[in-house]
Amino acid sequence: MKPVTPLRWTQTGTTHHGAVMTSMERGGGEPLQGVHLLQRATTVADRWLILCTALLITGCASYLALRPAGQRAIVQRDNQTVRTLALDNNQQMHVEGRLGPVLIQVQDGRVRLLEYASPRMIGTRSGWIATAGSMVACVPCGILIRVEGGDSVPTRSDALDGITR
Amino acid sequence: MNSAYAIVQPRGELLIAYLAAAAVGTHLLETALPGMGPWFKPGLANTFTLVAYFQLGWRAAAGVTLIRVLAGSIILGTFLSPTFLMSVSGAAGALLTLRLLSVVQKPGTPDSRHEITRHAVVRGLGLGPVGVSVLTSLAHIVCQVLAAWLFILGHAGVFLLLPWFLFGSWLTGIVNGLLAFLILERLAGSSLLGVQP
Repeated sequence: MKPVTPLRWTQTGTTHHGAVMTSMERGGGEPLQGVHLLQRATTVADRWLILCTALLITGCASYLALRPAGQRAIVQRDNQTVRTLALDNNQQMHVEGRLGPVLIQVQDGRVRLLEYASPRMIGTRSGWIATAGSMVACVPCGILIRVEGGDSVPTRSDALDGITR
Repeated sequence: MNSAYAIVQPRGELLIAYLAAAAVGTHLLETALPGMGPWFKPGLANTFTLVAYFQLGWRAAAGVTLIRVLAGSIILGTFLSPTFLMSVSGAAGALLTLRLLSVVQKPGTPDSRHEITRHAVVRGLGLGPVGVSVLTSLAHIVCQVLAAWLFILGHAGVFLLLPWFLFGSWLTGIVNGLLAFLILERLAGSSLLGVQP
């Protein structure tokens, strides 16, 4: 019986039919080249899936990019609104979160969250937010800030009306 | 070629143990990594779930994932905390996707276990490790956002962040799928799979 030879990606690859070929035959050169690897590792269905999901995500993102600038920031603690801040008024304040105080800064129509005791500091690293509907949250602190536009969070049709008017 | 090797005993449990250990290790190392931007975690530990899925099926994948989530959270001290809840909900989404996928495409039969993965999976939807990885990764983040909405934040505005989350998980899904492919390729022909000359 033949001994099992482990396949090594540095030396060999396989075709669709399972034939082993060397890296020379495959186009040679460096192993692990991005394109070669992608070709080798993906099936046709994989490639279609990657393409379709990419288009879907781009669609979602551009849908949200149509939002207008916000006017005020709503600060919520455990789903209760604790503050409403006008974005045209530069200010900063502390709000008590579950893990201690959280600093909220409003400047030049933008707002950001600075936490002190959150394990991953995601709220702080999210940076400034300014468009209506965008938000920043510190989940461990239970603090959520969302930006609102006019009377309500504008829908896409509102935004399109604004453009076509 | 296949008939040249008799499958003496599929060492499924052994492989699950190895993969789970590797997944827990990766999970811990990943936590220690410096930040890669807000809301972003590469999720490299899920590579081993994929390997388990393609070699042994979705039950093994569930085993590896549950061991990783439980052991990881106990070691890190986040057990039963909101972080743990997010971790569990993401894992649940990914496992549910794997379960659904396993209905339409069987990821490996005893005869094909020692072949390179792509031969074992091209049937049904024809998805290989990369495709399955992208799908599970997207399901993972969608379930996490749902959990954050339902249990933690309570405001539907969290869905406005979804496209950015989806993009991140799409990217990590591809990378993890490629890594899983490389591992599966290395595993092919290994005695770990119970294939003996």
